[in-house]
Amino acid sequence: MQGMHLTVLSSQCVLLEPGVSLDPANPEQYAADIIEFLQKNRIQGLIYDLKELALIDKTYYQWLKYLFTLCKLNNTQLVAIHMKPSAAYGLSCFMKEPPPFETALNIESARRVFNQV
Amino acid sequence: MSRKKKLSTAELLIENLKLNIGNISELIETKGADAFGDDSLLSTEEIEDYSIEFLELFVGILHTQQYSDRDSPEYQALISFFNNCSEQIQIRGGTMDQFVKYMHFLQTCLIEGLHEDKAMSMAQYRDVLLMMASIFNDMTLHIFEIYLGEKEFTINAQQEELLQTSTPITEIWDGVLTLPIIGSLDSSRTMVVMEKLLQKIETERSRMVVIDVTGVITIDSQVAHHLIQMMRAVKLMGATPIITGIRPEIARALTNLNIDLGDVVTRSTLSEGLKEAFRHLNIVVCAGES
Repeated sequence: MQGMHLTVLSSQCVLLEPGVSLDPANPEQYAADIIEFLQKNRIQGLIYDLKELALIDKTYYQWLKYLFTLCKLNNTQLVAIHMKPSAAYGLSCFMKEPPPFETALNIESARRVFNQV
Repeated sequence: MSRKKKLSTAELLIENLKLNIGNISELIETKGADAFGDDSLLSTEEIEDYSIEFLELFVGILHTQQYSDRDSPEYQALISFFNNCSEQIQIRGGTMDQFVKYMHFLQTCLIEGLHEDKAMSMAQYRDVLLMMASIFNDMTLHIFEIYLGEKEFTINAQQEELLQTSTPITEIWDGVLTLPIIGSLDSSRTMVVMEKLLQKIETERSRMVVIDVTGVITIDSQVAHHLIQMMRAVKLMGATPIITGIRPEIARALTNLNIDLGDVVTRSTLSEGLKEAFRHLNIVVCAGES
């Protein structure tokens, strides 16, 4: 998929690694492909890897919220992992309420979140 | 008279100093003991030695004709001399004021030591005095800059040390961090604490963070906002924050401020907070057989 790399980790869980060409300002362009992928592979948990992101601005946060909405429509849980301290700090500065999606330290912790649900 | 007219101010001063070196040395010897008032920071011999060394360096700088050039070796040598001198004074419990007093003493000795020279005009005398004042003022300023720079460096180092010791983030168990906050939380301190805490969560891969606020004296809306911001950032990193030790007055203040801690886990004491963290991680701590 353009702008991101998807790796199926198990029968119901997928890892999404955003690429440099991902355009968070135009989230609609990815919607159809993502929904198709989630439905086709019957994905129940999507792990979004933020390890390459030093900073999350409002546009990128909106993209994550948009992705969360897409996942929810498909009954898929979204967990963001590997958030950098600088990104967490920056995000906490402008966030008015907690994010709708879950966050975890790493893939293992994310899987634990999926199991809790 | 005609020869003196051709000499520069620096050369005039050198000539006059050479002619009157005896007077100046005598003044230093007689007045040296009073250079520091009642404090005997330097002995009379030391004052004489320092003063003779100073005279040599002073003449050296006059020879360069560019006495305000801070990069010249002569200027650097004089600054180095004054640095050593001020260090010596401060080691013996003296202050910067006393060092400046010593510089004034040297300047006074030089001015008093200069004898009237009929070959020099009033304008030349004025130039010589102006030049001496300029050199001494520049030197004093330079020494003060160095002194203030070092003082600032020391203050910064102490502040950094204080900050390090006031935010001891400890990994008390695998995956469990504790952070006791003591004193008051302001914006800059919160930023530093948060930065260190988030870094620690990343490096230690901690899943639980117990923040103990027993030592927080007062809380206002800004501090409460900072605390909530810290909780959010910890959660975003994927760790679970637990606040412990909210004292009655802090709880009352939070209620009055209408601060909603929302889904933040709170416990009364640090030990309760640790128990909660262990429970969360499925860790069971039990007494061993004695």
